[in-house]
Amino acid sequence: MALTDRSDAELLIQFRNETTKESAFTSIIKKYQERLYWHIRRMVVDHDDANDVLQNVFIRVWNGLGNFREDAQLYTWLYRIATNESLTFLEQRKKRSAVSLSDVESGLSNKIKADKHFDANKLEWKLQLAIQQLPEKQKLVFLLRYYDEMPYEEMSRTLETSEGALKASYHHAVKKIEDYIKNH
Amino acid sequence: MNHRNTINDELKSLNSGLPVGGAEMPYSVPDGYFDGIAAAVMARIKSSTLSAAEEIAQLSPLLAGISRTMPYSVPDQYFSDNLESLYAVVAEEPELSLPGTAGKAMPYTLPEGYFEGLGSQVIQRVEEKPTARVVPMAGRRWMRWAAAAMIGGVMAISGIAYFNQKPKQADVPVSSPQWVATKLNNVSDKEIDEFVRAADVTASSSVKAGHSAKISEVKQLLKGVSQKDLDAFLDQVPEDEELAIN
Repeated sequence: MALTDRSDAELLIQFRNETTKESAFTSIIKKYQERLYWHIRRMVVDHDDANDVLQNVFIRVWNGLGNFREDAQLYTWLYRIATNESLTFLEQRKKRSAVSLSDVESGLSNKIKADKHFDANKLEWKLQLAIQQLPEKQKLVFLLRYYDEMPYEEMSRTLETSEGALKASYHHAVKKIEDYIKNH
Repeated sequence: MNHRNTINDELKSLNSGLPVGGAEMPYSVPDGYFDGIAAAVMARIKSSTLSAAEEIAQLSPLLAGISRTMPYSVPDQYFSDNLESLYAVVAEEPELSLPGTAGKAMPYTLPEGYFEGLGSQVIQRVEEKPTARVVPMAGRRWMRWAAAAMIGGVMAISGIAYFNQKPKQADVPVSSPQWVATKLNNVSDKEIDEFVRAADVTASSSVKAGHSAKISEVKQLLKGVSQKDLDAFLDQVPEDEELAIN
């Protein structure tokens, strides 16, 4: 059985065993790194920033997985860490440069435009620009639902928000993005 | 209707100021709201069972048609190399240690044979330990006497001061000599002299007035008495009384 085929429960048991801790940690990274990376990258845009945040996430996983209470899915827990680390990163960037969060968002838009493959005429790039116009929480909801197709129940546990509020937020986000794409 | 009548009767019996005959709500409701609410609720129920793909297709065909492939580029071999770079970062963390490598060894050094000689050193120190100095309690007796004398002195002084204090003005009856003396303390000598002089004038005037009133009264009484009888009376009265009469 490939390492990544092991269930989360098995991986947790092996992580808590000193002899298999390292291999379990490796498996967890291989299983979730791409999904977590793209979740982070959609928030912070830049690859180097996403790389920094991703590594911080896995360091926290290494330190905290032993105490993981399993009252939520491992995936939910990982996503929560990745979300918090991304938001913390953006917050620190805001403080370092003494700019408002909206300026951080416009900075992210500029980073999108600075990508060597950027093409303003392509819908995929317009979508990325549109996403950066959303407020922080709404952006998160949209990304988790649209790209990761996360069920509202799981999203509610990840973001600690009611399902109804998440649905409303997602619907509003879709409307805003649609309007942005039509007008640009 | 019966229920409404019962409520109205009850309001009347209570002499209530509330409107009788059915209260009207002041709020407005959008047109067609109640007609469309059933459909809205059903749509919401259905959407809760939709998958993410079905939901976005329903909400926005435009977004549903956009490719989910991220347009961002990722360095080659990033995910395969990520593990190695991650271990490098983890190893740099001083509080982290990968199992089976650094272990839990302490970085500190100890003198050779430390633990072997520790027991004998401790015993030696215990045997050499001098007896504790005994401090006699008697030596502190003078302190007790000094403290007692100080307390007694404070109490004595307080008592003397309490009993020797002058009576308050409130305790002294008004117009008593003490009260007058207290009041006069605040009056200057000049003011007192002026008062005395004024009092003497007033007093001599009143004595003179009293004296003249007495003479007229005597004259009135002696109106029918002859001078001969008066002289005969005066010869019989001693000189002192004569002066007093006059």
